[in-house]
Amino acid sequence: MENNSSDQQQQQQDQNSSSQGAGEQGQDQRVTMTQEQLDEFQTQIKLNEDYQNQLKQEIEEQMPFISELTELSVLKHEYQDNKFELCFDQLATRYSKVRRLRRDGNCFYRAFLFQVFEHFIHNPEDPQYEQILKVLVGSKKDLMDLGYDEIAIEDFYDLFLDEFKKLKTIAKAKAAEHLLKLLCNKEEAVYIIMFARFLAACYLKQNAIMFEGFVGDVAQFCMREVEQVDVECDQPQIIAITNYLGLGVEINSVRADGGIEVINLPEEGYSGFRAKLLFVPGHYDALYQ
Amino acid sequence: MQARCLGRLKKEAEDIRNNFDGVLELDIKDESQMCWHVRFRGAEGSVYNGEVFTLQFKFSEDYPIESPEVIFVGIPPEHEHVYSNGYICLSTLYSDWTPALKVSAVTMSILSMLSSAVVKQKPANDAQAVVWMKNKSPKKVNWMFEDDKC
Repeated sequence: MENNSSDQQQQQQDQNSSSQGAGEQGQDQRVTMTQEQLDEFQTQIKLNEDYQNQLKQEIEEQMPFISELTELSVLKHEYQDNKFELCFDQLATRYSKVRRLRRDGNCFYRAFLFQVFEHFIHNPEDPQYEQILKVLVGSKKDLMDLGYDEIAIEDFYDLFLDEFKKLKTIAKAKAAEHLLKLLCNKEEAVYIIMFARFLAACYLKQNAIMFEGFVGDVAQFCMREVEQVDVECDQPQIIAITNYLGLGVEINSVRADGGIEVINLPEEGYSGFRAKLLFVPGHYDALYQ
Repeated sequence: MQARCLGRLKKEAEDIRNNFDGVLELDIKDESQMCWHVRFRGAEGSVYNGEVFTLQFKFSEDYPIESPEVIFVGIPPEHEHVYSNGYICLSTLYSDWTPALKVSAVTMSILSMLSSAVVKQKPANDAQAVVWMKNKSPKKVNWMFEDDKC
């Protein structure tokens, strides 16, 4: 799974556009700038920022957070003449539909939660539900044992737990409608995804020894790559959240040779529910048969 | 979002009053509670021993998802990461912000940043930077963090 995602590129662009900062003031040519030149320079930067924000908004408006069920052939069509085009033929032998996710850095978390929640609405008697509920109830203490402040995490914890408990009361026929509402907004959904990030961070920190060879300083990694809104998810975070909750994912990763590589996490010894995801470098969508 | 933000701020105000009594002094400046002043004293044994500083926290209704805007008001400490306009070069206030942080934690990390200074000195580029940052929120400045503290 590569790190060169389009979501990250978008963020990179945003950063690049957000002006020169205090750190560059020591350069000599700047010292000679007049106030007028500085003002002009700042105006240019402001215009640039506005343009970037406008682009970002346009992207947002075009793409819902989670789409309705869409034929997989639509995606194939979009990748026409692309090295990944043939991957969709292979994928079509096992899947026929896809829910597309907005490219906002939260695509993995949103797709994963959607499918997991959907599974438990459809299968309320699955014994995994109670197991996960137990893990979730204990997660506040787990986080606090790692040094998280109760008041900083409990709003996220309470909301996530409430919504997880509520899944059992949702009519199966209303599953998609309920989840599209719950996970597609800039309020509750932000809190729910944020808590999923805390759960990933929790596992990463509890098992720091296992991860530090891959991610470096685990606390720093959690701060920069896990716990920030809109920072996208890589394999360590996926391993962490699936292990913490005791869930699985099946990632169908497109290959440059037109094939599909299936990555199961956990790899073996697991027979419970797996979220079915499509991975095209930098982005996850949710797959359906 | 605003109801959640206000609920969180209420808890944080209690946190400061109950758990940081005698260390941090909270002054809620604004009716709607979205602007706070937090006063603290330079640590004993540090170069700021006894000096009193005030941090201003401005919260948007997206707090704590969005970081608060944090600056020194009044006379800022003379420190290589604090500009004369009160702006602070500290990554946790900007790119490294996470909602797992809170006002008391931010203030204590700034106090710790001050305590580790061995000499009082302004940032090398203070005069130019202050002109540059005029009318710009500290959150819009493209900070270049030099080490773990800045």
